[in-house]
Amino acid sequence: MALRLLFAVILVAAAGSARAADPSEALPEESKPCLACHSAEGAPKVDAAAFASSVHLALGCTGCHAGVDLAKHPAAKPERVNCAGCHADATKHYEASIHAAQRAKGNETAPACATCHTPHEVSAAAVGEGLKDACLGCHAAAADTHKKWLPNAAKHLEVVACAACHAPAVQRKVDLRLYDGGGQKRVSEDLVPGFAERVRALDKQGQGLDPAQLRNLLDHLAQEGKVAQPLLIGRIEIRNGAESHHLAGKATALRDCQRCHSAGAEPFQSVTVSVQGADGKTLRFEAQKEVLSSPISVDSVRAFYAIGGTRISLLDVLLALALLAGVSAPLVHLALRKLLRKKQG
Amino acid sequence: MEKLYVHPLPVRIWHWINAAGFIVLILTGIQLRYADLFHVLPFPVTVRAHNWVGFTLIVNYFLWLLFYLFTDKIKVYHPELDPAKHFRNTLRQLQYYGYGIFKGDPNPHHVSLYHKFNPLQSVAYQVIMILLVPIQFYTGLLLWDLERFGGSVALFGGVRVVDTVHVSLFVFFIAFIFVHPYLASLGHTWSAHFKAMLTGYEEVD
Repeated sequence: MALRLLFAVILVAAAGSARAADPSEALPEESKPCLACHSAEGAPKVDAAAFASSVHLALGCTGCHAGVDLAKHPAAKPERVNCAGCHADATKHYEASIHAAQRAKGNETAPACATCHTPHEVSAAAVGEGLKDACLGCHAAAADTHKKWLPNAAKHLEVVACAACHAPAVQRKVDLRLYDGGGQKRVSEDLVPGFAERVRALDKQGQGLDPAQLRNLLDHLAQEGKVAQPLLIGRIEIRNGAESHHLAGKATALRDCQRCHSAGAEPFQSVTVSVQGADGKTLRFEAQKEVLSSPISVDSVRAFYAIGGTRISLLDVLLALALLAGVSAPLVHLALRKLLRKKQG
Repeated sequence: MEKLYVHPLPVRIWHWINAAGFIVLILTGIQLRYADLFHVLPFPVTVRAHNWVGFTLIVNYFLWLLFYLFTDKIKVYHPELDPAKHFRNTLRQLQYYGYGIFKGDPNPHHVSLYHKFNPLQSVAYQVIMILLVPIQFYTGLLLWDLERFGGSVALFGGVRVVDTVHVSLFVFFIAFIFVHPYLASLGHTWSAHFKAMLTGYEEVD
């Protein structure tokens, strides 16, 4: 198993560099005979181009569909794909989820791995909105039902991963994704070569980027000019991606706003800054939690704010001073008036 | 004492709706920002109350604006165009609050039909009503629906900038809400200006 896993990892890593401009060119030789039938009518169809750009490309067909005896196929079906072979942690959490429980009860419409992670098109889990769309694909009414009780529902659905509330037992974090052009497009590693080195050079202690270092990083990107208007857009996600499979029933989903909207809330204790890797996976770099509440970050983290949860501490001090001045100035003035008038008789 | 009708009915209605609304907005605003310190109202209820009172005050603001735009009462907001005179009057008013009032000197400002504000008030209220209150309403509106106003939020500099401006003004209004009634108590009796804002009539010598 370990050897197979290692082999798979090497293949996946190699696929990143092997990917050609025409995606079907990148298909492994051994897959081509399979796809000759499986791109035609009559056999379960696989989109060759989508498969060629999926993260599973390097595994080929037999990497997952083991035990196909061509002499007996298609009459003899291949073995059931064992996703857990590579994704043991995610599978463990899936097994504890409402989805697995429903399947165990015989509900065939409840999702298995491939239902959400379209099997031949699967891209890195954290990329884009694909997985949220997968949730909404079955839970079509979710957008409307959230609107009934959740203020700014559309914004919440955009910046909070579904699992952040629907997997209530797991830990969350904030990923500050780097976008360019005023939030139009995620920045890919190709566009900013040396990004990782730059982050490491700034974060010499390895404690994560502090607010000044983060501002410095963005200033540098802006000066470099390769990223037009670099912008960090925050998103609340699950700290350990595998745990996002630990989805619970609707009744236990988080509805307590204070789980995010209060100082020291758990999702804001862990922060990463990310760009999209060349292989489609997300490259994350640690940042200190202070980047969410420092006055220095007003500009660098301008596109992420959770009322109460990521409040700027300096404003709290000003507010306390205003309250003190508002109460004490009239009292002192009043006391002086009474005192001095009495003296004057 | 002569009675002067200096606070017309629309202004009084606007003032008291605004006053009550400000207090609710400040209290709900504090609850939203400091839900970890005390928990009187559930968060979504507080958000909705804050939004609805905010909208009420935006509509109410137009009552004030239209009244002053379409009546000659706008003269009460006309600035003193002679800077030397304005500076002299402002200094005299400051001197009164900081010194003369303790000796029992008379207030240098005399209320008349088109001069209900002293020089300090006239500057303060112009800045508050034409700049600070509209900015507070605008940033509040953007925060109400970040998705709908996504473009404007980005133009403003992002949600964190919008919120920082909204909270900074909130800090100012918190101080204002204490100082304003105190200054209003400095009439010829402590309740004279309060009564005037209810009846419309100021008593003048």
